[in-house]
Amino acid sequence: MKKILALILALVMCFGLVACGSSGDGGDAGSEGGTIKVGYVNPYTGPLAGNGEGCDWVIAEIEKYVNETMGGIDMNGAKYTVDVITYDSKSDSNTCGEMAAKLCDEDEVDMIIAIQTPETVIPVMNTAEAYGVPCIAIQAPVNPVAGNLAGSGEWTVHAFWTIEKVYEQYKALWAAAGYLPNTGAKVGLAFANDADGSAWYSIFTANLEKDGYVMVDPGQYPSGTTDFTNIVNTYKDNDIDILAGTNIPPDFLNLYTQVIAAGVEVGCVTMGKCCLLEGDIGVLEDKGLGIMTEVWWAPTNPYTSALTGVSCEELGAKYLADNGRNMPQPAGYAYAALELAVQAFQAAGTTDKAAVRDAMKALDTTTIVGPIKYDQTMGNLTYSNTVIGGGQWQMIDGALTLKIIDNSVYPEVPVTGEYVAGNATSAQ
Amino acid sequence: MQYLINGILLGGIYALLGVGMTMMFGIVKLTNLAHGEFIIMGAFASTMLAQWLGVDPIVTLIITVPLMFLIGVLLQTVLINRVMLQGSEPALLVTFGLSIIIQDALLLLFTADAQRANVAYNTATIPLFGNLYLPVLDLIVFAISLLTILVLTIFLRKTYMGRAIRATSDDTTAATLMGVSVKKTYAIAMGIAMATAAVAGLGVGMRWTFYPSSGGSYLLIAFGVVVIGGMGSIPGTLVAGLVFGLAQVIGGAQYGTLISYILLIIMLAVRPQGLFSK
Repeated sequence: MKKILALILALVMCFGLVACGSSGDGGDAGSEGGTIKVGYVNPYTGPLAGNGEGCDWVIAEIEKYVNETMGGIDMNGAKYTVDVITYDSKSDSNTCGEMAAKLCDEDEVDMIIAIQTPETVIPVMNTAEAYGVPCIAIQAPVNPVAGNLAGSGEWTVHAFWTIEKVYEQYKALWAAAGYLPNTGAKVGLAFANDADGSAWYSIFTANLEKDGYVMVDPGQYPSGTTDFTNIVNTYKDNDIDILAGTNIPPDFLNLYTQVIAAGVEVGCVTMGKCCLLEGDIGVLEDKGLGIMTEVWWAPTNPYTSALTGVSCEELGAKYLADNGRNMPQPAGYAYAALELAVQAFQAAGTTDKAAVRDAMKALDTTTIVGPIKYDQTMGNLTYSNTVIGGGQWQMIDGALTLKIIDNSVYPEVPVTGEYVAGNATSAQ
Repeated sequence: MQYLINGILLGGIYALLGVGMTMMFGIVKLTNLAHGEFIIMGAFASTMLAQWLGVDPIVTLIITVPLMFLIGVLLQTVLINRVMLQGSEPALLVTFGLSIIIQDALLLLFTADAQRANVAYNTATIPLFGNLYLPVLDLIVFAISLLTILVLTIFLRKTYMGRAIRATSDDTTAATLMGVSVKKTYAIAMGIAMATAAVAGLGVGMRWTFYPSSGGSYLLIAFGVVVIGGMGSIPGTLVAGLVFGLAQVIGGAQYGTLISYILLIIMLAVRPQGLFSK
C-alpha cells in the first residue's frame, strides 16, 4: 500500500515538473502556445448576487468561442487559449480586494476584469493598479470609480455612463411622467450613503434646483436600515411628486413598502441599481408596477459583437434558451468585458503586461453593449461612454417586464414601449 | 407619535429575534453564531410553503415550528452536545461552520433572488386620530412576537420541562443530582430556540426583503438585544427589543443604527450583565 502511494506521489511530482517546465518554455519561446489567464471577481453570493448572475454562462460562451471556434489567440505564430479564473466576492468590498490580490499573486493572471457595481469595481481595480496588472473595469457609474481610483490609473480602462448622463435620463423620465423642469415638482430623494449613493446624491442635489425642481432631502442613510419612518414622514409632510434615488435591492424594497403603507402618493418613481433585475423586482410583485429605472443593455439593442459576430438579439435568445430567464443587463456587460479582454490580447500579440495595457487603451471596437473607445478622462481615469435608456416596469401577460420608454439621451437605442401612468403608491 | 408607534412595533420583532439566542446563552451557555441563519431558514420555509400551498404565511407556522424544533433537537443531540464536551470554543466554531453551511445550502436551493412572504395586507393601515396610523402587517408581527414570548415564559415557569431547563441553567450539577438529564435539557432548549427562530423568520419574511445571505444582519440585532436585556432573561429580551426598536426609529434611518450600537456600548460599560440578568 505504501509503495503504491509513493509511486503515485512520485508520478504526480514528475507531472508537476513537466508541467512547470513546459509552461515556462511556452512563455519564453512562444512557439508551443500556452494559456492566457484572465482574473474575474464576481459577486456569486450576497446582496449583489443578482448582478453576478449569468457570469459563468458568459465565461463559458467566450471561452468556447475563443478556444474552440477561433482555435485560440495568435501570439508570435502560436495559439494561446484563454482561461478565465473566477472568485466569489461575497458582495463584500474587502473580499474583492483579497480575491484580486490572490489572482495577481498566486494565479499570476495576465489581466483582471473589474465589474458589477462600484462596490466590486473599485477594490478590484485598485488592487490591479497596485500590482501593475492590466485591468478592464466596466459597469459602474464613472464618477464613483474615478473618485475612488487610488494611484495613477495607468493600468485601468473603464466603460460605463456618468451620473450626469443618468441624471439627464431621469429628467427625461420625469418629463415623460408629466413633471417637466421649472414647474416646481417636488422630488423626494432616497440615497444610501455608500460610494454609489453618495456620488449620485452630489450630482442630483447640485442639479435639481437649477432645473427648477423642488428638492425634498431627508438625508442619506446606511445600507441595511430596517426602519424608514422619519424619511417616509418627510416625504408625507412635503407631499412629494417624484421619488428618486439609487439603492441596493433590500433597502429600496423595505423603504418602498413603508412609503406605500404610509399612504404617500407619488406620481413617479425612478430608482437606480435595485430595479434592474427580474429577480429583484419580482419580489415586489404587483407593487413593482410602473417603477422607472435606467436601462443600459437590452436584447433589443442594435449592436453586434465585433469579436464573435453575435447580435444582442441572438445572445439574449441563447441565454433565455439555456437558462430559462431573460438575460440580465449585467450579464451583457460581463460578455462585453471578456470581448474587450480577448481583443486586447489579440492586438497586443503577447502577454507582456505593458504591451497589453497599451493595446487595451487603444481599443476601438464594437461590443455587445455598443461602441467602446477609451477617449474620455475623469481625474486619472480613462473611460469610454456607453449607452443608456429609460425603462419602465410594465405588466405584460401577468409578468413584470422592463420596457424601454425613452431614448432621448441615446436615440440609437430603440424604444420598446410607451409610458404608462400609475404605480403602487397611486393605486391605493 | 408615529415614531413611538413604529418603534414599539419594530421592538416586538427585535425581541423575537433575540429570544432564541438568549435561551441558548442562558441555558446551554452557547454563543450560537448560526442563529441568524436559523431565522433565515425559518423565513424561507414560511415563504416557500405559503407559495406552494397558497395559504397565508402565518398558517405555515403549524408546519415550520415543529419542524424547526425537531431539527434543533437533532442538531444538539448529534452534533453540539458532542463538541461541547471539548469546551465552549469548539462549539462556537461549530455554530460558525453551521452558519456558513446553511447560508450556502439556501443559496443552492433558492438562488440569490430577493424573497418576501407577500401578503395582501402588507401595506394596509388602520388610521388612528390625526395623521397617525397603525401598519397592519407590523401590528400582526408584533402580536405574534408578544404571544411567542408569553407562551415561552409560561412554559418555562409552569411546566416540569420548563423548570428542569431553568434548574439546569442555574446549577448544572444540582440539576443532574435531581435526576434531570442535562443533555436532554440542552436538546430541548435548542429545539425551542429553533422554534422561536421559525417564528422570527416568519416575521422577518413578512416585514423585510431577505436573501440567503441576510442572516448576519439579524444575528447582529439579536446580539444587541441579548446583551442589553441580560443573557438568559426572557422579559429582559422584550424590554431590550423595545429599547432597540425605539432607538432605531427615533434615531431615524440616518442615525438609528449608530444610536442603537452606542446604546449597546454604554450598556456594556455601565452594566455588562444586562438589564435583567440575575
